[in-house]
Amino acid sequence: MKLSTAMFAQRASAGIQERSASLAKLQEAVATGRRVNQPGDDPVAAAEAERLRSSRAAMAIDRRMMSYATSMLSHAESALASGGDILQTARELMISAGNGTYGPEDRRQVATQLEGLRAELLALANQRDGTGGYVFGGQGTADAPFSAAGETTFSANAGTRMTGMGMAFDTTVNGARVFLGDGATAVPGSGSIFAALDTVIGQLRDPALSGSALTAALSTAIDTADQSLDRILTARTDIGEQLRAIESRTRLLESGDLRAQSRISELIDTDYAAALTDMQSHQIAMQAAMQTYAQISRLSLFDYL
Amino acid sequence: MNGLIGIGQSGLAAAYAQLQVTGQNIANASTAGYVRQSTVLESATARYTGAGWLGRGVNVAEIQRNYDTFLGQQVTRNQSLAGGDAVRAEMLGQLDRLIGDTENGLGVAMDDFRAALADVVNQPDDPGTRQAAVSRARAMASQFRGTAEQLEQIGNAVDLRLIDGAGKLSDDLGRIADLNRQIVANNQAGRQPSDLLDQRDVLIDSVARRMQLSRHDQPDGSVTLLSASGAALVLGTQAAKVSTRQDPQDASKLQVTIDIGPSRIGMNAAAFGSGEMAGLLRFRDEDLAAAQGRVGQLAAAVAGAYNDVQRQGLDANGNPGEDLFSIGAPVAMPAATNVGGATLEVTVLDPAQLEGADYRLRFNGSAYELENLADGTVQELPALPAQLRGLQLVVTFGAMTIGDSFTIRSASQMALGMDVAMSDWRGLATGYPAAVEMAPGNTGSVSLAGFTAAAGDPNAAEPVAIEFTSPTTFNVTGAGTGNPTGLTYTPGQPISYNGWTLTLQGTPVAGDVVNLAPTANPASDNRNVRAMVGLADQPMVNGANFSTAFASLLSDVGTRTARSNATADGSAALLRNAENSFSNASGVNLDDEAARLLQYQQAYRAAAQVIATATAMFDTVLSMVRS
Repeated sequence: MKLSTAMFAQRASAGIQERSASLAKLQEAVATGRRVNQPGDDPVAAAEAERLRSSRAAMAIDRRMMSYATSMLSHAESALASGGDILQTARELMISAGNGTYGPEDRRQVATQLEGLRAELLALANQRDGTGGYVFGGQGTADAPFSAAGETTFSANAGTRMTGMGMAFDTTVNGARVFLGDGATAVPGSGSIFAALDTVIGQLRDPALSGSALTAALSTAIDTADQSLDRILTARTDIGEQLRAIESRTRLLESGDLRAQSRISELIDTDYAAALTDMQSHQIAMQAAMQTYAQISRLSLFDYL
Repeated sequence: MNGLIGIGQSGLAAAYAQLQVTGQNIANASTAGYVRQSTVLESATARYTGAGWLGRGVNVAEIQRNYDTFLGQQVTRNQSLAGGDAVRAEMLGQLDRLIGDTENGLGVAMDDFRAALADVVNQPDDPGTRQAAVSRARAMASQFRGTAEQLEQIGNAVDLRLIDGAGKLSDDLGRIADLNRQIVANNQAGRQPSDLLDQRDVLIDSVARRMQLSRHDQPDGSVTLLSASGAALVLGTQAAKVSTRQDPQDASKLQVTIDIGPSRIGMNAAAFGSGEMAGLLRFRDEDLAAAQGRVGQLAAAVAGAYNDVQRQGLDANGNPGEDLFSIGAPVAMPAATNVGGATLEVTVLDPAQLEGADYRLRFNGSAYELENLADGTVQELPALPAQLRGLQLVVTFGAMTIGDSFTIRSASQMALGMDVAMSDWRGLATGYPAAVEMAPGNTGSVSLAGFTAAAGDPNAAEPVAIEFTSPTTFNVTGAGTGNPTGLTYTPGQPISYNGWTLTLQGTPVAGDVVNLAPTANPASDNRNVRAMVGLADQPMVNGANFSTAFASLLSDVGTRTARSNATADGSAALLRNAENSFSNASGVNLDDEAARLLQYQQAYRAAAQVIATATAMFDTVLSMVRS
């Protein structure tokens, strides 16, 4: 095939341009580390990578929620533990008040000590969670959930606030249940620990109270303390279970994230070995094209005229 | 001897003409469109002698233009194909880069908003998290708006190129008609000046690059050009104009027309066939429109979904949630040719049902036809008002008459008008109107398994009591419930009143009560914002979730780009082949010309030698006479 001279030059330069365009594309892939820089490079891979990117974002959100729940639940766990300690002390005091050698003055002292413990317990029940909420805030409250004056009531909705996408975990404790016995199965002593303490403190201050009436009053209060301790234990067990579940879910999310990340890399990242080999062969081809063009175009019959 | 001198002279003249033509070829070796010329010789008519016919030298019969009509037309045809494919691939490349910027794209904006909502789930009481969520919502809306605006800008760039192309076409067609006139005027015994023909062929290829044409050479040397749709572009010395105007069917669009005298023919991509104009129109009306539709569809679905959840909840002030996002409204534009004077109003009924398309509504005398402009499908509507595809169409004034039409910009408008409707972070409706509580004295094991709220019920926050009369039966009391009694309890089965739905588990004991109470602290409640975070996993966009819908936009644009790149490469290769074949037949090869130069130079010297010989002979005779 004979080409016109102008066409030959045009073809040669077009050929070299094409090669340099492919080289530029390869260079981009090597420089950015990405084989797919825009969807047109590989539409299927680009779409899958975008879906994976979004699912990684979702997993990151879920992990953030898990980590928040972990911190809130650990907080709650230690608050419950102190609550248990307070109740345990109160219980021991009440048992000692039943001792026959205690006179009215001794009992009044116990009452004062119990009052201190009650205040401590109320402060604990109204403890903040460090992020603007309350540890025992139920389904959520902006103010302290337990009233300070008069009879202690719960101002939030009973229940818990939760976080999490796939699985939800508590970020608060149902204070109404732990301290007031709301929603717990009704058995003797399942009522409010605050009310029970208030009653027994009043009774211990009554110098007339003694004998079997005293024993009965103390035993009612001790029953309630036991039930409260039971509920605290249940709540702690529940928190322990949730923390374990969060840990395994977090591990799952982490491994899911790793899988997604490596899949994205498979889809869009440059295979350096292949890219560099390609680049070399393109370079050789380009060199060859340039050299042959230069040599062939040097051949002209006019040189011999 | 006169004869011999004459023969020598004719040879000299012929070789000189050949050298001239070769010189011209060499001089024009790199002139665009130059077609190689060659000298055709014929021997001069012989003279009869008794011995037979004695030759009288050589004549230059013709300076031939080595134009191969078939190959030339093949180049012309391939110019159109390559032109259209290349420009479409180029524009799609721009679109691909815009949509494909996934690191700063819509997908990331949607995920960022979701992450901000997740922080509100964790800390609903914290004004900071709410403020952050609202500002992320604003960033997402502006990302949608920005993307839609950039798509519009690409559309504007296409329009500018169409205007530019129309101007160039008019210019070229005018010059072709002018060359026709000159060529016909210079037509000498059927031979036309090569340079004019070369110029005309260059112009014809330049027209063909922009629009497909068919070429018909006339006996007088002029050329007639017709468009793919059959419109006369050049007829003798008459040239059509190509111009642009507002599309009479669709006031928001630029239309290219072919103007012949006073009549203007509207051209769409199909009428242009191939070429850059067709490529630009296909890109604008198919590729770009599809992307605009999908972006709008996604914007509408996202806005609609968050607004719905927002409305079912209570904000930080305890008020029912109001719309978080606003989106652009559909626009119905009457065709300029409408005679009925009707006004059409289009509203969005259900953003999740919206298609990523715009429509044209026509009245055919008995029924309405709704054409989906993205895929060309037509649905017949017996009457208006009609509700379909997430839209409601109502004629609010007058009536449509036969042939009247409206262009309905639906999906393409949504993202353009997307914004955050809420000004105050307190407006984020994070809470549910009501909460479920187990009554303090319950002795059974019944507990709550699930609870969801729904928008719009006036009794949503009314207190309701579910009281068990046995482990398997219950009564319901409360405003809006109708106070039913003796209902059967099955664990896990949903119980729905006043817009809410709850499910219980466990075994109750007679006398146990489950209370639905108004939410005590809506500002601290996170149940509704948890529902918002969950939205992104729901099928909200015509059956797909947000991320999948965005990914399918990417794959749609990517696929179009990859396909059009392949097509453009293919048609460019075809054009290259056609040009090679044509240049093989009609181009100048300098080595060829050098060989000819030698050949003709020799012929010239030989002819001169013939004259010299004749002169020598003449001298011989003269010297003989002298002596």
